[in-house]
Amino acid sequence: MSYTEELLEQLRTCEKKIIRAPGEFKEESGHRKQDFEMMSVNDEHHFIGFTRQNLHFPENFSVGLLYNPRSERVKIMLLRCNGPHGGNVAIEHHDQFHIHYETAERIDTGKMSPAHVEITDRYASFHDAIQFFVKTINLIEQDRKQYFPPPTGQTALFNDENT
Amino acid sequence: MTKILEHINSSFSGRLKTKEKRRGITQLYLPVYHEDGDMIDLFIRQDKNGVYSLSDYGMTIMRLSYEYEIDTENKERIFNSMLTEHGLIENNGAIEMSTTSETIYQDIMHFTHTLAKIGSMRYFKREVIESLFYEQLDEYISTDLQLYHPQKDVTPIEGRDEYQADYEIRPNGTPHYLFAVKDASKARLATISCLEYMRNKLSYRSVVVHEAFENLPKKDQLRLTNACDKQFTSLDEFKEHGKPYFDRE
Repeated sequence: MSYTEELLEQLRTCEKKIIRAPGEFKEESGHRKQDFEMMSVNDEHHFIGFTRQNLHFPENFSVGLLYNPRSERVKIMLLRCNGPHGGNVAIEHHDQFHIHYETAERIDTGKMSPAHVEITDRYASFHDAIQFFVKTINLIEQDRKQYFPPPTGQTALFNDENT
Repeated sequence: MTKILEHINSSFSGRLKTKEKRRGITQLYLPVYHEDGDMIDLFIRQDKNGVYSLSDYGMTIMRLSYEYEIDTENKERIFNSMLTEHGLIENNGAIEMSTTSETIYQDIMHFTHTLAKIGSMRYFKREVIESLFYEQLDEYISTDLQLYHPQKDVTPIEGRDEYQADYEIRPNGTPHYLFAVKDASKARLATISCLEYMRNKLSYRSVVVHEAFENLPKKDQLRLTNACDKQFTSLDEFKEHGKPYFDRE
């Protein structure tokens, strides 16, 4: 399959529905986690979502979206919202909230890791990042409310046009 | 702590930065990166007995778990052997090793190298884990099912080796042809072979042992389920229920 930036963006933002619910957080190996699966609402594309939070350092977290092209063995990490866990080769200053994106150029050269990184101020905690994530990947509102309800008092935090 | 941090700074000629992550825990910013550009997560602390420890505080396994779980005996065996070979330990997800002021440079290089190696376990899927799947299946069949005189790489239709089965097992008078399936292409080959056995009106039973049934595309799951007689969804499942199945046959 040939990937373009447009296709990757389309995969990131196409409307999605939950087909395997995240359930409660599980704690194992020093982190807590949730895994869940989604389909695009047109039933064409399968995705895997995850949240991870380090138990020692709660600010070290990642919330990610994997595209699972069932005809291929490789999954593509479309998006990962990270906490300020440490340095990055592309970020001069350490310890900033940042988002990893996969690019078509890297996939074409066989580099299957999302090395395009952008610093963000769109979230400032693990729970904020989850809210930002489910909005960014266009999870249907019903599933957002059911599986990822915003913490009390934050209902309107991400209801802006720039999200 | 100050003493060893001075050692670290002088050892790396100032190219390594440090920052106190928590009281008594210092994060080391070394220019060693994962493939996605993130820095290897590395920390140092001094324990109550005065011993210094390097630790990743669980970040390596957490990072690995985005796409890969150490969730089978095979994977655990590989993970543990990597730790043992490199003198590291795992403590509730954290990978750690003791160090001293005198050995800190070598220990940091050694530790980060091993973390990178563990972080690349997801690439072992094809090269190592799958070969272990065949290896462990073979070991199980040649020991636990030995009483049924298993034969390897058999050709049920004479002269048609393109429809070879991985094993023939005879728990009774009827040959049971077993296929080890690790991916979609092997699932398709097993499906075609079973259909061809049927077309040739062979008297047989077919058994499929999957590495991970749930990872197959749905259409391959359906085709193989319709074509074969018995499936085990994983090697662990086969090890638990394989012999009782053949005993019942």
